[in-house]
Amino acid sequence: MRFFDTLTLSVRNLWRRKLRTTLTIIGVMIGTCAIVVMISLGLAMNKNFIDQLSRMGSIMQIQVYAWNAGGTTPDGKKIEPLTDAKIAEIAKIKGVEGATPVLELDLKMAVGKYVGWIYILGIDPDVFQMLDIPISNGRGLTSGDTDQMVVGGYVRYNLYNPKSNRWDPAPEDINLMEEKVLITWDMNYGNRTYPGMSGSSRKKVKPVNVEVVGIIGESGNYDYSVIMPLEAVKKYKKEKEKFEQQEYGGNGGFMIGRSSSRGSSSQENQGYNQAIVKVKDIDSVAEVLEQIKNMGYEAQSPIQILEQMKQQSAGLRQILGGIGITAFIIAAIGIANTMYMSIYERTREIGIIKVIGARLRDIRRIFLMEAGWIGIFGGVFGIGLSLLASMALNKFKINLGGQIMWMPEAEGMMSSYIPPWLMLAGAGFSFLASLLAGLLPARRAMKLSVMKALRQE
Amino acid sequence: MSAIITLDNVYRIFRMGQERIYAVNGISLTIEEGEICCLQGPSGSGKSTLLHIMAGLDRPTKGSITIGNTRIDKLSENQLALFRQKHIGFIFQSYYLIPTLTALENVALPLTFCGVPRSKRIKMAKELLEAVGLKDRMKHKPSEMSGGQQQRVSIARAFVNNPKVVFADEPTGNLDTVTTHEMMQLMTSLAYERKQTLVMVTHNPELSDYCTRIVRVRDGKIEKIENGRDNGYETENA
Repeated sequence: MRFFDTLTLSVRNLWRRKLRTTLTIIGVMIGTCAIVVMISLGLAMNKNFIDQLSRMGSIMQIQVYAWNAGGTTPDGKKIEPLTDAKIAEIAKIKGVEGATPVLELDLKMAVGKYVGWIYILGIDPDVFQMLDIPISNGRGLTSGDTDQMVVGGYVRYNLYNPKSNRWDPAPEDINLMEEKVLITWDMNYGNRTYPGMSGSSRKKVKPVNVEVVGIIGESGNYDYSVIMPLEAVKKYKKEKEKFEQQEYGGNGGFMIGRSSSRGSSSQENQGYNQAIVKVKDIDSVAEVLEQIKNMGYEAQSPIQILEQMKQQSAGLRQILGGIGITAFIIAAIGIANTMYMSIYERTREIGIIKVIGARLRDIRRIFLMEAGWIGIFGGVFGIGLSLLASMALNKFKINLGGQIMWMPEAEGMMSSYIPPWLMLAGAGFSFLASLLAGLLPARRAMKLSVMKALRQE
Repeated sequence: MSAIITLDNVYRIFRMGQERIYAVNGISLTIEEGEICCLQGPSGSGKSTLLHIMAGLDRPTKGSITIGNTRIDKLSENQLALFRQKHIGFIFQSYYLIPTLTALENVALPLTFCGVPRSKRIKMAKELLEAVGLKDRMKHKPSEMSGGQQQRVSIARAFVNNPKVVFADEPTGNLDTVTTHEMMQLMTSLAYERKQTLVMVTHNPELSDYCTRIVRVRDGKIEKIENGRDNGYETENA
C-alpha cells in the first residue's frame, strides 16, 4: 500500500467520526497545553533570575580576591600572591575566555575649574571587550590604548569647583568626552591652601592629559568608576607612591585617600588584590569558580546566587511539571480509548479489508497514523493555546516567584516563557505519546482473525 | 486444462468443550482451471468452512491446499494477505462493502492495497463497474443502492485485480429470484471471459445450471460429484 493512500485513508477514517475525533484532539490539546505552560512557568522563573542577576553584573564573570594571599589553604598549601603569572595561569583554565587583574587607584581629575576624586580601575584592555561593560556613548577600551579612559555615568557628579565659597558642582550637561581632562596624583590639586596645612610647601605636580573615549551606561557596578588600561594605572600608581614618599616622608606621614596598595611599591611581587575572570559559557562558571577557589583565592560570581535560587525553586518546578505530565497522561488515555472504540466499531471493516488483501502492516499503519494525526493536531493546537495562555499570564503579571527578594520588581519580568525549543518539544511529545497510545489498539486490529471479524455485527 | 486448486485429505476440527466437531472431514478435491464449481449441501454440512479454507481465510487442522503452485496452508499471515491481493477475489452473501466509500472507491480498494497508483486504479475500477452495469451508480454509497446493485459492486471488487480464482459464499442468498439469475449470469460470464476459476457455495439447487461441476457436501465429506453443463458457454457461444 502506498504511503499517500494510507495517509488519506487514515484522515478519512478520522473525518467519519468528527465529533469523537474533535473531542480527542481537544483532550490532547489541553494535555499539551498543560505540560507546556507548566514548564514555561519554571523557565520564566529561571529566566527572571538570570535577567536580574545579569543586571547586577555579568553572570559569566568571576570576581577573584586575594585577601588571604600569603596564608595557607585548609589543606595546608601556601596561597601565592595574585601576580600576573598567576592570572595567566587562571586564564588557561578550561572554559575561561580571559582574565585580567584589577588595579585600583584613587586619583584626582580636573576638568576646567572643576575637580573631583576618581576611583580608577586598571584592567587589561584586551579583556575589557569581554566584560560586557555597557558603553552608552563613545567606545570601550581597546588594545593599544594608553592614556584613554572610559568613565562611569555618575563620575561627573564628583566634580565641583573648589575655589567657590559654596557648593558649586559641575553642570549637569558636562560632556567629559569633549572637555580637556587632566588627572593628577596630587590629591590636593586645585584646593585652596590654608596656612599651616600639611603639604602646603609641596612642589607642583604637572597633571597628565587624558582622553575620555567612552561613557559607561548605567550598570550598577561601574557608575562611579573610571576604567583605564592596566599599564597606565601601574605607572600612575608608582608616580603617586613616589610623590607621597617625598611629600609626607615614608609611611609615617599623613596619607590622604583610599590607598589600595599593599604598602610598598613592588606590585609585581606583591600581586594584585583583585582580578576578573570571564568564562565562555554559563555552564562552566561553577567549575571554573571551584578551581580558582582551590588555588586558595576568594572567588565570587552571581551564579552562586542563581544556583541557590534554582535550588529553592526546584521543588515548585517539579510540582508544575508533574501537573503537566498528569494532564498529558489523561489525554493519552483518551487517545487509546478513542482508538479502541473505533476498532470495536470497525471490526467487520477490518475483516473486509483483510480479505481483499490488506496486509498486517497496512492495518497497523492506518491505525497508528490515525493516532498520529490526533497527536499532531492536538500538539499544534496545544502549542497555540499555550502561547495564548502564556500571553495572558504575562499580561496580567501572574507570578509564581522568581524574584530576588531584595531587588525591586524589574520591568520585563515574565510569568511564562515559551522558547522555540519548548514549542517543538511539546508538539513532538504530543505526537510520540499519541503513537504510543495508538500502538496497543493497532496491534489488536492487526491480530483480529478474519473470520471472527467478519462474523461480528 | 490443468488443476488450479488441489485439496489433499483436508480436515477442519472445531472443539466445543469436550466434543470434537469435524466440519471438514478428510476431503480431497481437484478443481481445474476455468471451472465454475459449485459446493452444495444442507446447512451445517461444512461447505462454507471448506470454501474459507480453500480461500485461505481459515486454516485446516490437517491436510494440504495448493492453489497454482503455492501451498497456501504453509503461508504466514502476511504471505497469505499478499497472495489474496494478487490471486484471489471474494464475494460474500452480505456484500461486505465499506459503508463510507462510494461504489467506485469500494471497487478500487483492493488495488489500493496492491500499491496501484490512484489514476490507474480508478480507471480499472470504472471498467469493472461498467462491465457489471453500474456506470451511473459509481459515486453512490452502498446505503443508496439496492441489494442487487450492492452485490454487483461486490462482484466488480472481486474481479478488479484480475485474480486467478474467485470465491463466492452464498452470493445470491439475500437476493430475489430475478436478481439471483442476473447475478449468476454476470459472475459466470465474467469468469468465462477472463478465463478465471469460480468456486461458490450455495444451497439453491437451481443454480446448478450455471456450473460445470457440482460438489455435494454432507457432514464434512464429499457425497457426490456431478458434472453440470459441460462448458455450456462454449457451446452457447460457438
